[in-house]
Amino acid sequence: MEKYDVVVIGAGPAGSVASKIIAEGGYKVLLLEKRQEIGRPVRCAEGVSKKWLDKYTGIKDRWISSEIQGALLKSWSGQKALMEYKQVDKGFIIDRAVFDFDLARESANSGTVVRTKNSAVDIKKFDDHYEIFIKGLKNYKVKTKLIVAADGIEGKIPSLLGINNQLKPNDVEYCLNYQLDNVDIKNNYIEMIGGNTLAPGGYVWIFPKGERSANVGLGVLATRSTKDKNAKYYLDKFVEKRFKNKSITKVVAGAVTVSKPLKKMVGDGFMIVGDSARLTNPLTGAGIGNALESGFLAGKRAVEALDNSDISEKFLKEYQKNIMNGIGKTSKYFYKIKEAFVKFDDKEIDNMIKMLSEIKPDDLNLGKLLKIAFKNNKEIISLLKKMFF
Amino acid sequence: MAVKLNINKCCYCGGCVPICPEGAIYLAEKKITINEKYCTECGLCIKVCPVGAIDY
Repeated sequence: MEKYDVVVIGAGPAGSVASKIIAEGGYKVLLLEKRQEIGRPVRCAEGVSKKWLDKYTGIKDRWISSEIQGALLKSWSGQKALMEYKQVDKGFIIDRAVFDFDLARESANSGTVVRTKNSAVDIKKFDDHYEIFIKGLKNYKVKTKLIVAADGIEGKIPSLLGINNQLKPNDVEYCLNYQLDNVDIKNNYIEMIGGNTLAPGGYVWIFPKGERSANVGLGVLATRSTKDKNAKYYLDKFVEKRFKNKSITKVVAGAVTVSKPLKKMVGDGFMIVGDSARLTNPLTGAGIGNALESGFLAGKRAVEALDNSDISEKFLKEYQKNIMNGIGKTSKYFYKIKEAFVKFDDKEIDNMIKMLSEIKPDDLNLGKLLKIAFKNNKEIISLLKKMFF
Repeated sequence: MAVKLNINKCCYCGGCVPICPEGAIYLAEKKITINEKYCTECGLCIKVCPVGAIDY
């Protein structure tokens, strides 16, 4: 039986970053991906802030579909407010297929053993190690000291490790996104459109992908989705109205958690990262940055644990502590904001955008936006003071 | 008993997996399986599927 120091399950951004750091730390690490090909099919609207790439991956031209310098915030009735991003808030729409693939290859070049079409289907716990049962072109098992679960929204590894990761319907958005071609869009601005008849409990996004091309999609809060009025119903209605003669060159479906992070993301010999740890931003659905950071922190702690021959939950808990002091804390704040935001009726959404439209685009930022949106909500206002202090 | 999946519509997003109260759904590489032993036909997956790929 092959023996590893760490097995990372899932070769998305979190898993690839974690495994690369572990390999660079001199340890034997296996990165498993159930799909035939890393990065495909894409399950993402592909927007990411520049700061995350600067911090964890650098920026490669081949990843960039478009550069984003601001956002057009709209309401269902047509009210609009323009937000010009400061340099630090700028972002990109990227090509996740190429991005994910390159991150996995960089991990491989650091010494990670990467295997696609290898699915971790079961785990057996022993005193000082795990056995992982793998199905794919071959069925086999491996021994490992540590597991990093980077297996995404549908991941079962946490439940195999005794963690309940079932989702509540008010904590998840069901999304559909089309890449549209032959459409008129503003190249360097994203659009975010709110309205209960457009995207109940969620929002519509238009993310430019290049010349006359855009990711157009929306999320519907699970509690507001029905068989007849699901994400596809709402997206088709929106697209028919706004984009004539469009072509659909890519169909992307996905569930995005809008929850607080998993209560327990660490145990004896394991850590959970990325979407599997429910780290997507509860208000915006952004997940790439949090996945990168959690992969980095888990990778670092894994190396420290192996250096110290201590893979106990007590030692690994430092990983969860680091998450909850950073992106986890931010998520908890955004969760409260999301809970308040999904209660807005159409009149409140309209008023919010109208108020935002009265601010100069260069002066409008997320903090200001939220302060205005929730100016009558004492609880949220005091929360915002903590967040943007 | 079990709800049924339409493989022509399914986009393999895996969203049905974590919302199932019984854990009856599994996404392998390109295949969704719905376990007849655990499915109670509660219909939650039918409601949430973004493309309406699941039905009774």
